[in-house]
Amino acid sequence: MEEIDDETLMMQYAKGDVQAFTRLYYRHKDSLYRYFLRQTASPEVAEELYQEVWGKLIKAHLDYSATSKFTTWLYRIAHNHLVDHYRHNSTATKIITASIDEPSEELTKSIDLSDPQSNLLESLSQSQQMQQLKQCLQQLPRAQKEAFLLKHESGLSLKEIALVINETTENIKSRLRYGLSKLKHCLRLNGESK
Amino acid sequence: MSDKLNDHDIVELYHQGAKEQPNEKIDASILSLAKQQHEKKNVVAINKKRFYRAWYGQLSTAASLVIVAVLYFQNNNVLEQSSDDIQQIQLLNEQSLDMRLRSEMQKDKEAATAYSQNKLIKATEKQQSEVSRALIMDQNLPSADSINPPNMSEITVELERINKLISNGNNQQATAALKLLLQKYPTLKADLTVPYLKLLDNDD
Repeated sequence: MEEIDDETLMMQYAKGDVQAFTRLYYRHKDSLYRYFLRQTASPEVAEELYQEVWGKLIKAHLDYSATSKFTTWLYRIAHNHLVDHYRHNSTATKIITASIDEPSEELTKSIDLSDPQSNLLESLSQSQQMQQLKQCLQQLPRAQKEAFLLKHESGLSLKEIALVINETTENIKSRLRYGLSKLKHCLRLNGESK
Repeated sequence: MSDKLNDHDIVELYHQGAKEQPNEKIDASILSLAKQQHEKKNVVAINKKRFYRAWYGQLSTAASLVIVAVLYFQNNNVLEQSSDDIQQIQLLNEQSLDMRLRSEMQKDKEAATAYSQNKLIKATEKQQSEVSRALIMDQNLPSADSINPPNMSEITVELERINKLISNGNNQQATAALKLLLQKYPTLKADLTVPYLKLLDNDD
């Protein structure tokens, strides 16, 4: 069966086809949910924001024009909603953002990342690694974490991410590079401590 | 797994662990909201249709009445204007006719006046001539007061003076006065009596 693109489904929903919306929803629900889940303090808050964003989208579906990509539109709504949430809950945000901005010099020295003899990560099971990665992701600065999620969770291109968060592609590239570097560092650090 | 993780490994590891999903209740509520929104939109559209269908007859009747009223008033204004114009034209015609009649009447009056004046003048002249003839024929002239036409008085006065001159024996003066009178009124010569004619003959 031929895959109908998001934009067509959204236009069909605007014309009254609820089934088109259902298909669109199942296509994007998990990635959007995890986008919120990784960037909020609790699953309850993520669920709340998630529902609100879908609600906004449903109400604004008549305003959607097929000239913009559906995912860009969806994540722009989500991004703005998240920013509003951070503003209203600045204390919670502070907790999340109080993370490792840059790998400290001391830590970098303590672990030789390029040392082939280092077998720390191998000692961890895959599930442990996945758990550690989630924890490390939680510790990333907000901008880097969002760039990582939009790229690898939601599957947006650099240009689309730049549109969603209103930044230049160079900044997005930089955030992604720093983010991945920090994740690697964090994982090695955790592996070493175990 | 190698301790030297690259970007791809991390992304793969992330995808392996990212299996969280929203619960089914949330899915159901969102899909229900989408359906409600669609139905709401349809209800609004149906209500719009119903309103139009329910009031179709009345609306079309009202629209027709409005059109008829507008056309009536427009035409009425035109008719009023045209009747006003006709009235004005009639008034102007009447005025011009009236003026023409008046001018004709005036002309008639003037003609009548001229005619009566002419007649009067002729009558006066006739009367004058009759009176003067009578005076000349009769030495005993009637008093000037009784006749009193302006020329007659002059003739009478002059003739009285001539008579006095004749009676006083001043025939030359009387002759000169008579000549002057005849110069002024040449018609008198035909009506002169014998004493006056003698006077003139003697002078010749």
